[in-house]
Amino acid sequence: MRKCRYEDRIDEYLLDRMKLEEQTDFEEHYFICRSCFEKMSERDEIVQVLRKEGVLKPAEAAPVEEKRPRAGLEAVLAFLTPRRLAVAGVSAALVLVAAWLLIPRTGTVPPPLVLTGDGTVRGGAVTVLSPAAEVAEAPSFLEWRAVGEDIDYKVSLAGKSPLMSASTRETKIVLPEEVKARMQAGRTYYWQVQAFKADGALVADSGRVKFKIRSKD
Amino acid sequence: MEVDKKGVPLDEAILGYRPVISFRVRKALGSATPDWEDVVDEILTQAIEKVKTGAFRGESSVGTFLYTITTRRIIDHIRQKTKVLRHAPEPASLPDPHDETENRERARQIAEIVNGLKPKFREVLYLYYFKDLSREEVARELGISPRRVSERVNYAIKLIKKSVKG
Repeated sequence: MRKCRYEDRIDEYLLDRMKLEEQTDFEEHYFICRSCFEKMSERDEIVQVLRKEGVLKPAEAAPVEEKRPRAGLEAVLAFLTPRRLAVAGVSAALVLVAAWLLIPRTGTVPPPLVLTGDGTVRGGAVTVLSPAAEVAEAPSFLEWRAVGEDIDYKVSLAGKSPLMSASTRETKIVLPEEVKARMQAGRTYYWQVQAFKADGALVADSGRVKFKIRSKD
Repeated sequence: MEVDKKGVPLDEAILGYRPVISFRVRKALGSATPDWEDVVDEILTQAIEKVKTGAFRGESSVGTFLYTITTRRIIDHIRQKTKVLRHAPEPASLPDPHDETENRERARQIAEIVNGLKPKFREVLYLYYFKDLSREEVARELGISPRRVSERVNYAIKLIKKSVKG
């Protein structure tokens, strides 16, 4: 099979190295050329992994450093005797401890999240009231405890895919009928509440709360 | 019933483009965006609707037709989201646990294969993909020709693909 002329440009596209017109042209092309799309999808999966931190470790991936030894390296190594290294290590540790003790704590510390046996989240977090664990049918509302005054709550609900996300100042949100209609018996769902101050700072989080709608057997 | 150039019913041909449309939408909106799948569904629904109403009868390429709808829908979605998000941050997305496990396993498999490659292939992959250097910059760094850089990159990717499939 003849090679498509766009095939050699796959990496450029995946690595965002194309100009806008070239990108548009390439995108239109892979809607038409199945071969290029398949090669690109396969390549994309590999490229995503290669670009992740820690997959290609620098020390092993760049042995060029070993091939070109720096001048004076031996002199540096001769200066750093075990005794001098030990002194340097202890001094560095003392400086770090002093810095940790002296530097004032600023900023909001994220609230600790704790899951209790009955599924509620306590501590410095949003306490979820209902639903949690198992319910007989699709819930009509989601409810939680207030964490303070002038708080905006962001609520998300999802199953295998997102169902709903909304904002409220109340501590309860009614589920629209179209959302309830999409929820099925025997399935597991997840919801989460985050509390924000007026300036947008996150002050509490319920974490993901799981509940299941009982099967109709 | 309208058919495409290969004689496949148009609505069936359109549904077969789901992976292509998904790729385009995810690249534009980001995989972490919670509603990318909804956008893909909307595009397919709109395309099939146009076939049903006769707005598209397969005169031009199905791919080009879908590309146009996809591009417009992505732009509309970004405009809508910009208005909504201007004043309020969105809640964190809730990823599908089943997809997550499968993707993580594939990624782990690929990472294992990559770390089994010879150093000369790993170093070129590191410079080209992770450090994001151009072919010419990688060539200068390693003291080889740009053509040799391309050969090593392509060979390494071929080895990885073969190991993942095998």
